[in-house]
Amino acid sequence: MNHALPLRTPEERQAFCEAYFAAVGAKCVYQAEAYREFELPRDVDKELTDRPYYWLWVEQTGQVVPPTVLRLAFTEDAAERENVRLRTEALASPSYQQLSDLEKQFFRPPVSELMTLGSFRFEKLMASVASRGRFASVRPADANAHRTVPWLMVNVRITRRCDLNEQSLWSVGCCLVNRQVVDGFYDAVHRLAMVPCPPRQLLSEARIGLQEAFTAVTQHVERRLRTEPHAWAREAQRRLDDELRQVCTYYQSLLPEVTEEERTILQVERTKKERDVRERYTPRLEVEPVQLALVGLLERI
Amino acid sequence: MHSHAHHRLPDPSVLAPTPPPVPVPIQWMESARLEAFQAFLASTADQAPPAASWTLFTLCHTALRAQLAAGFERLLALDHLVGFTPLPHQVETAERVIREMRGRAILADEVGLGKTIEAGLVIKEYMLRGLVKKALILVPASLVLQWTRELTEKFKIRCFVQRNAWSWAEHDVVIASLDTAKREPHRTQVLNQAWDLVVVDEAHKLKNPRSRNWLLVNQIPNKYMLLLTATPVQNNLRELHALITLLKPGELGSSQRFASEFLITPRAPRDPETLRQRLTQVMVRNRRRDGATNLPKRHVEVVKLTLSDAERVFYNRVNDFLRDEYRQRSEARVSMLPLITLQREICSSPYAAMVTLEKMMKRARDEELRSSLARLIQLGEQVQTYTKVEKVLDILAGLQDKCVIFTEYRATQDFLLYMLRRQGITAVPFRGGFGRGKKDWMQDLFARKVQVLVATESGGEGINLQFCHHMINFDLPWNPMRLEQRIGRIHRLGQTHEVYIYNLSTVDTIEAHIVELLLEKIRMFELVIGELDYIVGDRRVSARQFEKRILDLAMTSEDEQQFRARLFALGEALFQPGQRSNKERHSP
Repeated sequence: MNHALPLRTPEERQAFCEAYFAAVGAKCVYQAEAYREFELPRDVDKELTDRPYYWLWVEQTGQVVPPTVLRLAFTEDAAERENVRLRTEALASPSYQQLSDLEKQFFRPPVSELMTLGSFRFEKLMASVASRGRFASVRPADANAHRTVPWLMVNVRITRRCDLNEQSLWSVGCCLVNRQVVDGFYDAVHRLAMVPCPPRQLLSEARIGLQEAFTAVTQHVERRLRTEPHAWAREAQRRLDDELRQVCTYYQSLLPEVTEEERTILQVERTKKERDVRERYTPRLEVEPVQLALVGLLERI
Repeated sequence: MHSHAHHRLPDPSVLAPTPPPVPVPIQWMESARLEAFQAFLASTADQAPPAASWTLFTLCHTALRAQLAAGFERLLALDHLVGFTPLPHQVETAERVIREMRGRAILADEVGLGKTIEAGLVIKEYMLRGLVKKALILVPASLVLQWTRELTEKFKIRCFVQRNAWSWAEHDVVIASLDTAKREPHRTQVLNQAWDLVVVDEAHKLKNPRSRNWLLVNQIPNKYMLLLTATPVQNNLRELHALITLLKPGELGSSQRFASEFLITPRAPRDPETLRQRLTQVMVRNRRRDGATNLPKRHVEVVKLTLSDAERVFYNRVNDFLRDEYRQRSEARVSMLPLITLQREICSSPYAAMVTLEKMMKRARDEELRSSLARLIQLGEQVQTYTKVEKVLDILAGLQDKCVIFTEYRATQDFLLYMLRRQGITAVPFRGGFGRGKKDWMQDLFARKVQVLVATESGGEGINLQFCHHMINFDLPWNPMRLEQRIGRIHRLGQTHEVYIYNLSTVDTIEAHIVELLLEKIRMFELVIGELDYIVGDRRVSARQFEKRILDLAMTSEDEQQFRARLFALGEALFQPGQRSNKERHSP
């Protein structure tokens, strides 16, 4: 279902970026079709631009520096169009006119950045989102915090892996009152209008601890994984066994023909090859909690 | 990354029957998350977290879904390419390599079909899926920069050119030359890294399992391995065994077992079908004739020439001399090599033949031989007009465009350069012996300044002349593979113009027949090259053997007619796909 993956279109990426910059308090200072300019607050600047020494210098020497402006294009057309504009504007600006001839030669007008999957800036932005969006504490906008039932939401990334992998994202909720465990929790919550809420208010109704709820979630996830079809794993295991057998037969067939000294070398080589084969084919199931949230829900959900 | 098996407490609330045992242990990663979450809650306890925190949480969820290594219906890498679209055969190849070959494969596309792109797709896909972090790319020194550019620009893979002994450990994706990697102190460093993926370009350099190249690559730790070569087999089927053993030790048994089970002789497979079947499991080969690409059309023209009287006399006398020598050498069982050379040179140009005649003269002990050689040299000196050179000047005058001229011989090359310059045509040489710097320089000069490049080296690694649309084959290599490699220099991916190839052929010479055999009868360009260099059943590709065979025919035929007939019979037998009778083999 690759086409259903998010952020595959320029429109989605643009909406994503706009939501991000609004959330982190970066002002949009210019906009055109499929193009935005954002002025970065210092903390965001540090996360999105890769220049630790610059910041060290700025902070050690107490410099006052102008905020960075990101010029983001979401389509190639927009990038081209805005580059022309940026260039024209730069060359017409008074600061350019004051440059000496030599300086003019080395002058480079600003250019836009194309925001595509895997581009430097977009990757940085994703990383920033990943660290800023790990945790939350929320309740429905229209509910009184004291009348909600607290839940722990755990979003886990499941990786089924042999020489190839497949991942999925599960969201499991555990009720902190009655220990009920529910799948597909994020989707249910996401549909409601939520607002941040002080955790202590939500937790006042809790009967069981977070650790206990978390354990219930892990047990639930493991139970679900155990009932999944495991054909892929059995097949990977079979490939692993076949390959190991082949390596074994191969090296055994070489042994009679070599000297004692070569034999030792071959044994070492064989151990390494077997290790590589295991590393490659051994089926694994990895579970990684990636997001956690405290969610208050109205008693009747 | 910390991971440990999560403690599994018996759960009294579950009374359901125990499901069948999981064949796979479950690993919980980064289990410290809960503590971090509790710390977050404590830090904000009585206050609501910032208003935007929920937005960021939902954006994070979107990002997580976007970065998921989803199912394998389609390459994830395709969504991460900007500014270029891989060709269908390249995408298909990358998919097959990952899905069916499990990341261990020989990529053996014909020259110019984009093996680098295929490898790039595979590398990118594994990196996006988090299966490859550390990758080693071993290429000839001359291709290091090209690889770096391709991976950075097309695939946005952050790769580093190896600079010193620390580079291997320091960077995740390292591009280096095989020659450096096999020397200390690098070798130890290379072998000590846990590489996830190893790529070797020009992997035919690994055909000998006793070579230092092969021994090195065999020792490098790896999970996935790609071997790239346009010619996985050059002379001998055992070369294939060497490559496959790197990918899958034991796949074809030990070298001895392979020989006894699969081969009649090193060049003849016992059961081509079975062997081919086994090969398709580890090797992908795309060919032009399969419609792998839509390159612009290639026009091939045979330019027929008639020798001048003086040239004709010289040619005939040299031929008579060759026949005599051939007979004597056959009886004495001495090497035919100088004769093959002379035979081919006389086809190239009188000038080229003169060099060899003079060499033979110097070495000759026998008085009679010396005097006949002296007479030949004298005849050669009387040649005043050079028909082929005149024709080249003609063609160039008509083109008014850049042109590459190929010849097999240094002597011809020098002579051509001299003649071109005398006519005021700018030209630079290119040959295998040049260092990399000089090669680049000449290529650059040709691209920017001069009209003609006169080259002796066809297989020259990494010389790409897409900006040129004309090629003159002053003489033809007798090995069809080499001819295809020549043409691949200009007729390759990236060529946007139709290309024109002129093959010079002098009437009533051996060359004329060979040109006809290679080009007209067999239509090798469009059709047979795929069969010809196809790996299995390829006892014929040995260039030496092929040349020797032609010399044999030329020297033992009664007349032109008989030679022609026998040559074509040879062609039929050699190039007919699927029909490979053993009786066609001849004693070496």
